[in-house]
Amino acid sequence: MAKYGMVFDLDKCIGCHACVMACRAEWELPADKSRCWVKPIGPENTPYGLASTFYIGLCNQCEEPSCVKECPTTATYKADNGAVLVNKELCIGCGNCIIACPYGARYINEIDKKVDKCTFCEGRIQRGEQPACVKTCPTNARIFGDLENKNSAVYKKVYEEGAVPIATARVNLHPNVFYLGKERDIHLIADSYAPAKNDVSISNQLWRIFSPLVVGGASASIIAAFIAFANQIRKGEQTEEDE
Amino acid sequence: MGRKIARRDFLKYSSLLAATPFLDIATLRTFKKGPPDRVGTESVDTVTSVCEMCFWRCLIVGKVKNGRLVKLEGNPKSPSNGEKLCARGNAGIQLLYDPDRLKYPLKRIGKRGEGKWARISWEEAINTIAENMKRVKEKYGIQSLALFPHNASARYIMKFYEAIGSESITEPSIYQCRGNRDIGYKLTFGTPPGSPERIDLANTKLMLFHGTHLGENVHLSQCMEWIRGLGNGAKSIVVDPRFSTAASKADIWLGIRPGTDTALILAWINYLITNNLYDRDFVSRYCTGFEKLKEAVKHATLKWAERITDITAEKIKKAADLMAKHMPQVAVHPGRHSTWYGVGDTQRHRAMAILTAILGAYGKKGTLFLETQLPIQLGQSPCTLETEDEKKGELLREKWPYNLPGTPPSDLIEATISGKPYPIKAWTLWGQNLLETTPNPKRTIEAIQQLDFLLVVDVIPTPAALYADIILPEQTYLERYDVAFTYTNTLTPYISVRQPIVKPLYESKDPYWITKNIVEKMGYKECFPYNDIKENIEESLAPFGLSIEKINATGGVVTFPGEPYADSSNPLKFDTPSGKVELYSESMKEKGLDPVPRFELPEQAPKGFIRLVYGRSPLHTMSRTQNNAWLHNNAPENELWMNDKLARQIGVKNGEYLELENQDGVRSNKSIKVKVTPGIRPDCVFTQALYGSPVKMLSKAYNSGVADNPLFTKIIKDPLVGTVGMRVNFVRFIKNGKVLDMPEMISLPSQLKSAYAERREING
Repeated sequence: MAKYGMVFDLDKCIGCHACVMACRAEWELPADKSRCWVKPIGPENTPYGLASTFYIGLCNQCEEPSCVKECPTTATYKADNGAVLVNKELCIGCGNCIIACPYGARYINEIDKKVDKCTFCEGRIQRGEQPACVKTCPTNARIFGDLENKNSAVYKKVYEEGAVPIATARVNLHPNVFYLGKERDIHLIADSYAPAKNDVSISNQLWRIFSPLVVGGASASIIAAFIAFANQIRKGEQTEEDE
Repeated sequence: MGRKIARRDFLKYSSLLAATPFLDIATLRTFKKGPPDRVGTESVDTVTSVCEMCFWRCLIVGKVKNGRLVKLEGNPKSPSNGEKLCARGNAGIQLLYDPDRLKYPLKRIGKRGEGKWARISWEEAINTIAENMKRVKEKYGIQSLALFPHNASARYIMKFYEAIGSESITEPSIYQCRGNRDIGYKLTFGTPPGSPERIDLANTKLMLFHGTHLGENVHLSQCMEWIRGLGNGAKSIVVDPRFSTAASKADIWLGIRPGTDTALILAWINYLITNNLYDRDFVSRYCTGFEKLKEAVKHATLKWAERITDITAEKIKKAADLMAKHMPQVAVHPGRHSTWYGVGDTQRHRAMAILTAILGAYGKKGTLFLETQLPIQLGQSPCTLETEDEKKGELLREKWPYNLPGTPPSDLIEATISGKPYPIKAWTLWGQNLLETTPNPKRTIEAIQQLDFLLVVDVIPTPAALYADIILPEQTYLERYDVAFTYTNTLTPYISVRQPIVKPLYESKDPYWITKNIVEKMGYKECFPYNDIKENIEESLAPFGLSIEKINATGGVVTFPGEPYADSSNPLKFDTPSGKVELYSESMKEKGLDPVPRFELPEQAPKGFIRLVYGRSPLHTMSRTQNNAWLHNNAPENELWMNDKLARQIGVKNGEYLELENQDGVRSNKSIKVKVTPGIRPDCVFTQALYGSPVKMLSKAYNSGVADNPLFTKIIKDPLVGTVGMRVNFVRFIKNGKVLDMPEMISLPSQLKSAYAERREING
């Protein structure tokens, strides 16, 4: 089984946002949502000179994902291919994972009221296609592939050319998404968008789990929440490896 | 330029094409699979076509599910963009399904500009238009019918105006964009650099970007080639007062004083000549006037340029040495939008062309390459009319030494107001957003108020549509046949065709149908002989032995062998009076113009004001994408780039909002968000153009961001062509109703200052 990862070559990104739009179209997302982002930073002075770049990103598909731990219904899980996925049948839209993710990679899709995120284009990659954002990227700034295959482009970028994840000593969830670029550009991103740890408080957890009962009252969500909660109690800590 | 492909080769090639359809259909099948978690499991149909989210004309594939367009992708068969598309191309779906689209023919029932409309039938609309146009023509003559066209869909109506002999045609997309550049290159090489510019970025050793902010303007295939070229190890030099996206990837960024570009280029030319660092072989074989050029630029020393441009002599020299090192594999980008300062715009691009020539950077790999001529021009609807033998008299455009097709837009606007030299009484705006493309929209509105009749044909309601007597809803590029396009300014030339991906929505119609109906109602039965637009396209393709079906069978594109580089079988030819590259132009001298470009300082900021320059957002094609929900959501408003030292001095913080007021007292439509950065010089501020639409019917674009065009009230024309400079307007900042004091951060050298003051005195 492959372990998928992505590398962003900042020298190639021109900030055009094609990735954002292709993602929105591919997954028929709400008009103001996307599973990936482009954030211009700079021009700013850095220790390495004047710099300006784009913080391009998507779910880091972390090795130790904080979102999986915080999901009360086991809806969020780490798939065998390395991607962090959401089982929409189990998701109750509580939003714990949104708080838990230090990269802001998740949001509630108002169409189905469930959490939504990048799946590395689940479905497309199974068919041997590239993720939609990679396919449309005009300058090939996005490189997708198997991090365990020594002949893959991503392997070379990470293990030979020194692509780095956006992580800190304090918050390192071991992302599978890496950045390659000039020192000054990496510095800008690390400086502006370093991940910060967000703890989901116990009271928040409880409230979010039971809020559908209190507020919504729809029978489907009551049952889903109940089953999900029961599931979580039954499965305890071993939720990550299931599915 | 370039040799024609022999007809024999061409026929050989087309027969090959005929044999390959099965392969291509198999490839296209891969598009049919949708992602598994999409709603429903219906099969997805694919149609190839040509994008029109901007003017670059990338090839696209539309995926359709149950009659609804769900995705647009690049056509992998395209020799230019392949499977790639930019944000705008991807977001084309949102133009198609824009709820604010024009849906039905409308008739104005309120005052002009009030925005009150009544829905009418196509029959009533066509009758009203034909009656009015006929009446105006009979009363005031052919020249009284003016046309402002844009895009391929306006080609049919243009044909008609040309056929009846109206010279009152103007394309701001040429005049107010790349016109000066085209003339500057034509005067030097005998041919303009084309669109897309024939610049071989992917295969060069050094790129010079002077007057283009590639990256922020996503001219897709050119961006792809630029980044590919850098990836191949090419160096790049960027000249820009702002640390642009291109500058952030460059080896040398030259943050030039606005308006002094020609001085920099002349200094480079002088330095390269004086130090024998030019391509002697190219100059002696292909150029004329070298000695006179040498003499004319000898004053342009590095020190001279340093004072003027505010770039150190050392840096100017470093850039020139890099050019000399890599010559002739230097891609001197010719620029595109060139109406900057009025004075000297055409000459600036002529200077760039001369620099290109002395580097020998022409007709070779990695340089400005040659256009491949296809064996036959695509046929067009003939539209031969027996025009009334009307004495034209003096034509507006004849006062300019050099002409682009048609008449300068600002001249047409002024003539409409004054009625001189002839009355202009009926305007047609076809896909042309005149109030946002041409400076001083207030003056344009004054002209519109003088009209007997204004027709607007468009997809969404533009500001000018508010003043129209009749508005017609045209189909978007995703719903219509249009024309077949030839691409000859690419390394591999090709032909493709725009065709409907989905059925047209509402009562929108295609441009051929609209034009044919209006024109026939006016009594011109013979102009558009075909039944419909598709038949017209088939007729245009027939001379190639092609048809829409054949193009579709080969994946939506037919390619031809290109001949971009000169060799013994494809020798260099120059369509200039001398037949050579004109480093010194005798023909310009005869017209009393500078035969070698001379630096002239453009309009300077009055005390207390700062120059406003503008550029693009990569998410927008000027004003026309502002109401696109997807693009709007990611780039809803523009921002004002302000130098950090200036900001500190005047007490402005990053993210603060300021009102702008120009030198003529015109205030911005609202406040603009300030981006404080060291990445711009302190003697100018920058914003992304054409935000802040005044049209309430555009629910996303209306008043979103600050409109720059209304702030451009100063009209300074290029004396060569009559185009209007747009970077000669100055603003001051208003915070909480109070005008902020503007310090002079970088002062002009005293000699320049006095020369400038002298000229102002002379010119008034």
